[in-house]
Formats: sequence, C-alpha cells, structure tokens
Amino acid sequence: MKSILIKKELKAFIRSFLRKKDGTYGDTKRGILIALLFVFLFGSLGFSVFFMLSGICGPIVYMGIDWLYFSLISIAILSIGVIGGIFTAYTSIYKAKDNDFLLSLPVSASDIIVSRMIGVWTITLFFSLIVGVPALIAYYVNGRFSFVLLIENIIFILSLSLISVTICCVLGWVIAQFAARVSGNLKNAGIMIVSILGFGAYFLFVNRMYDIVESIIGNLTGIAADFSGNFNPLYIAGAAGAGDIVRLLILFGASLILIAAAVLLIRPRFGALATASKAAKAERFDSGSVKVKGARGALLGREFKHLFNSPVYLLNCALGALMVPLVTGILLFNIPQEAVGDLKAWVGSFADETVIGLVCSAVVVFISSMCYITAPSISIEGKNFWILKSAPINPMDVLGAKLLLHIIVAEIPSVACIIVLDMYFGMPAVCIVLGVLTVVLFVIFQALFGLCVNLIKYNFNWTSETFAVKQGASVVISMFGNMLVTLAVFLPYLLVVCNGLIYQSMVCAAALITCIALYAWLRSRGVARYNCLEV
Amino acid sequence: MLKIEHLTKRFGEKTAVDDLSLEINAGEIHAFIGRNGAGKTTTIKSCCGILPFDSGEITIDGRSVVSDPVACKKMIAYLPDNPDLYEYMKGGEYINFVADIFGVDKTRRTKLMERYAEELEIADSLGTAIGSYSHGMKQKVAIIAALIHEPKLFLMDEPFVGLDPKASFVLKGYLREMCDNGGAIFYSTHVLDVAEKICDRVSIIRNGKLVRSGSMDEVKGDESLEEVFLELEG
Repeated sequence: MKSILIKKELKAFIRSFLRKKDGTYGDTKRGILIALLFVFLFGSLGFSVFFMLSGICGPIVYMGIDWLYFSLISIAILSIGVIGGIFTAYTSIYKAKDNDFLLSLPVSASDIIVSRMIGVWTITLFFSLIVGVPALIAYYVNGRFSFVLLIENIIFILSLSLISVTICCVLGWVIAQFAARVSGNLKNAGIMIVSILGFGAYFLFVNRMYDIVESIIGNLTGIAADFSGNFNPLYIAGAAGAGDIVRLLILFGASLILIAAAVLLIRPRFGALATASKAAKAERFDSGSVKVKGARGALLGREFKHLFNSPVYLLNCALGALMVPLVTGILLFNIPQEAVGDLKAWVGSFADETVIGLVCSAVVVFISSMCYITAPSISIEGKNFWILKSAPINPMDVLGAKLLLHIIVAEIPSVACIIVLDMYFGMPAVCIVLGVLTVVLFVIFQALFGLCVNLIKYNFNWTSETFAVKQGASVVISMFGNMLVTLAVFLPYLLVVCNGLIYQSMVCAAALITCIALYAWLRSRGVARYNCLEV
Repeated sequence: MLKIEHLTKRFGEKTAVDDLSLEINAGEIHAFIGRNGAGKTTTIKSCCGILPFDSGEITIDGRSVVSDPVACKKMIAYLPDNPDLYEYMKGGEYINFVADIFGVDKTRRTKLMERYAEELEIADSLGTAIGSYSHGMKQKVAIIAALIHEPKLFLMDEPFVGLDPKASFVLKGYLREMCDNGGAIFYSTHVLDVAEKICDRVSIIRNGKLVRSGSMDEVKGDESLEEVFLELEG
C-alpha cells in the first residue's frame, strides 16, 4: 500500500509539470521546455553560488581542512532545504484534500505520512541541489575530483536532503499543532507573521552574506577548531562530504534514523491534526454588516479574500510585493547618501547619470517578477470552478478581477519603491516619470503573462493548494519567464550604452506594445480557452 | 422554459450524450433518470453553460446558452451533486457573493437568506467558514445560494443526496413553491422512488440516449422499459 501512495504522490508532482490537457504524459517538447527552464534556474542561481563558494573553497583547500568546506555547505544546504520545504510539509501532510479519504482506507497513518514525506522530499532535494551542485563543482575545481568522491558526494547531498525533510516535517507538525489550537484568522495571521519574520531573517542573512563570507575566510582556523571533534555533527557532515567513508555511513544512517523518528513523532496525532479544521465553533452571520457590490466588485473581493486567507498562496505568489520594499531598503542601507555623488560621477565617466534610473527600474521590475499571483489563479479555482462557470458573468470580468488583484498588490509597492529610489539618487523628474511608467507597464505585463500561461497550462486536479501555487508548470514558466524577459530587455543596454532616458523610453514602448498584444490575446483566444475549461 | 435539441457531447472517443432532445415547461418538475454514467450530469452541466458541447442547441426561455450565455445564466440556478464551495468564505459571505453576482438588492437577499437559513436549520452556522462544514451543511448553503436570486429554472444534480430528511422535505417544498410561481425544475436522480414522489414528468436516459419522456404513469406503463426499471431499482 505504501508503494501505491508513494507512486500517487510522485505522479501528482510530475503531473503538475508534464500533464497534458487530455491527461496523458510523455510529450517530449513539453519535457524539453521544462528541462530548459530548470537549466535556466540552476544556471542563474548556480553561477552566483559557485563564485561565492569558490572564494571560500580555495583558502580552505589550501589549508588542508577540506571537511570545513563541506561543514559550511551542509549548513547552507540544510537552510535552503528547510526554507523551501517547510510550508509544503505543512500543507501536503496536514491540509491535503484527500486526507479524509486516505484515513478511511485500510492504510496505516505511517504509510500516509511516509508517502507525503516523499512529496516534500522532491522539493527539499530540488532546493538542496540548487546549492549542492555548484558547491560540489566549486570543490572539484578548487580541490580534487574522483569518481568515487562523486558517488560519495551524491550520498552526502541525499543524506542532507533527507535531514531537511525531517526538519521540515517536524516544523510542519509544530505549525499544525498551533493551527489546531487557534481560530482560522489567528492561524493565518500567525503563519504569515512567522513566515515574514523567517523571510526577514533570510534576507538579513543574504544582505550580510559577503561580510559573513569574509569573516569565515579570515577566521578559518578558529571555525575549524569550533567544529572539529568526533561527535560534532557539523564535523561528521563535513568529513562525510570530504570523502570519509565511515562518517558518510554515519551521516546516511543518521538521516534515515531521523526520518523514522519524525514519522514516530507525527504518527500519534496525525489523524487528529489532519482533520482539526473540520471542527469549528458555530456562529451566526451578521447580515447587517453586508455591503452590496456589483458583480465586478464581488469578483475582486473574492480574489482578495482567497489570497489573504491562504497563507500558501500569499507567501508563495505575493512574496515579490514584500521583497520589492525589502530590497529597496537593503539598497538604500548599503549605498549611503554621501556615496551617491561618487556613484553619479563614476556612471558619468562612461554614460549619462540617468542610467542609474534605468538600473533602479530594472531592479524593481526584476524583483517584482517574484510576484506571480495570476500564474496559478485559474488552477487554484480547482473543483470550485463550476461556481464561476455557472454564474451570469462575462469571462473577462473573472479574468479582469484576477489581473486587478495582481496589479494592485504588486503595483503599489513597486511604484512607491521606484519613486523612492529615483528620488534618493537625485534623478530628474522625467526619469522618475519614465521609471514609474516602466514599473507600471512591467507589472501589468507580468500579470497578463501569468494569466495567459495559466489559461494554457491549467491544472484543476490537485489534492493540496500547494501543488497549484508552487509546483504548477504555469508558475515556473511565469516566474522564470518574467525574469528572463527582464534580463532580455535591460541587459542589451550594456551593448548599446546610449542615453538612459532614450533606452528607458524604448523599453516602455516595447512593454506597452507587448501588454496590448497580450491583452488582445486574452480578450479573444484567452476567453475562448476559458469557455472551454472543464473541471 | 428549457429546450434541448439534438445535444451531443463527446469526451475524446466516448459519446457521453448522443443526440438528446428534451423540453421542460414552466411550472413543471422534471426528473432526469438514469444509471451512474448514463449522461445525466453532462446534460445538466451543458444546460448551465459549464460544459461546452459538440453539437445541438440548448435554449432557456428562447435564448441560446451558446450565443447568449450571460442572459441564460441569469435565469438559472445550478446545484451540483458535490457542492464544492469556497472554503475560505463563511457560509453567509458565499451567499452574499452569489447575490452580488446576480444583483439581488440588500433587503430582498437578507429576507430570503434569513428565511431559508432558518427553515434549513443552518442559520446558526452561516458565520462560520465553509471549510469547517459537513457535506450536508455545504449542500444547504448551496441551496440557499441557488435560490437567493429567485431563478426561473433550477437545475439540480442528485439534489437529495447528503441532505437529512428534514432538509429534503423543506427542499421539496421549495421546488413545489417555485413551480407554482411559474418556475421550472430539472433534476437528475438514479433513485426511482424520489422521482415518483415529486415530479410531474420524467425522462429516462441510457448510455447517453434519451429512452423515454412523459408523465410518470406513462413511462411506468411502458412495458418496453421493464429492463430499464430493473436496472434502476436493482
């Protein structure tokens, strides 16, 4: 039975990327497209990780304490695995729609938990590889390489991803315990506050990353002395990565024992926690508080309600809206007002200073591409789609509400930040206006692109909202497509190096034409596709 | 009120509904009877504009579901067999959302919601999130939301499944009241007894094709349908 459940989880994961409209798989073109997207993801993130870790790896290898390098990357792999998998663990273990059904079957709770953990493991492994692969390449380039070491390192990464799963599942269990004890709104607020604090800590870490790296390089012997010791887990993990076969077996064995311990911890209250949301105190509805709205207002209100009542949807798809001010703050913090003059003078040596405004727009647009609310907005309707299909509303009203939600949530912080950045760097008024126009148009483009992709790559057959908002093909295509478009539009400036205002005007014109084209597609073929969608 | 002409709907190679023609008049409760997989749900979903169909024509009060979907949908209410509702809304919020979509004024919606909620015994839970509801409670909220805009045509898919006896009785009363006011009801069931008690006319569907349509007595009296009835009763 366990193998059937595991197969079901993996199938759901693969289906979210490769399923065709008729429910079949095996489309080579589709597979190649998804593979290319992953290559882009690995390439873009992997390069920065590789160069950063190469800076640490060289001195460590030179000093002959290779295990320390693997200790440090163990921390990085575990951290990113946990950040990437914690909410997947919570939602896929405790919030899956088929929990009631599975609990009614002659299947042990352990089997259900293990099968769900496999689903979470696919996510943590994915995140572990983002750091793990470039980290290993950095070691092979700066240190040594052998086929045996490669095999050992595969087991090393595998073990760390399993430990990440364990941590995610235990933290998911803690969240479920909390969620079962508080009311719906308090629960969502609590989850969101904890997540935002977590992301805040993460960005603080990223902001200080180079300081941390420098302090590590400057104090390698001291850190090595702190970590060393036969029973120190970081030493064991480091030595295992460096090729110590005994410690590698200890690490692998420990990861399996930890997984088993997590299952034992979760199992006793699994049924109670998985069905906890079913019990709620009955309350009368206050009809007096009702505000009558028109159909469009009701649809927009419904979109807002859905976004802000679903921590998974909000934290995954609207994170960009939070990151734009965060990154702006980091930029302003790292470039003091006194340095602005120097920066302008430096830029002035090869171009005009309005290029700074262009770069600010590029940064804001790039970060706002992490806001992809429309990308899963059709899929997320799931089995409720019949409500919209049977209602007397124009499909464009439904699609318009989804667009508007994205635009409102993403546009406000993006526009505010571009104004603040341009003013901080003393850009002229025309540059500020162009900056605002660029950001407004790109956010509209991102909203339109996500919605159009989701109309083509929709998936109503999910058991947990996480699948729709995190793992759907439309989400991956939209997010990386938006990033790619941003790079493709702004990077060519380096080749032409013309007046910043002229280039930004051209960018705006291109964005405007693209938005009009996408909107025209949405009104014609998009609406036709919407009318043909079947639950 | 509802006219289905030569409706055909295919799912890939499979023909779910095959050249089906049917008419439901105002003031009539019409049961649509057939085994599981006979094509009942597909027909009803096609009438609501949920499912596009391959050929044929469906009109509601003379308007085409294909060419004038919004006008048609304004006249109908649909109750699915499995009421998947927005779990992030409270029951009352969902009903108000539907009322907003149909443009029901505040006084009217409040009056109707209070009446239906009290009679269906769910008034005490409408302030609770739908995610915490049982199947029957969701069904009751879906019924209130369907009736809140006083539809002319009520399309229902296995409406009595999951309802407690009291709620079933109340719903039957609503159906009769709606018909007395000139509305029409078209509902599917695979239980012959349910159809026999409340409907004015019945249609029997088998393997996507309409086998017979008429009053219950006419249909039951048709000896050629003995096998069909055995299937339904067995």
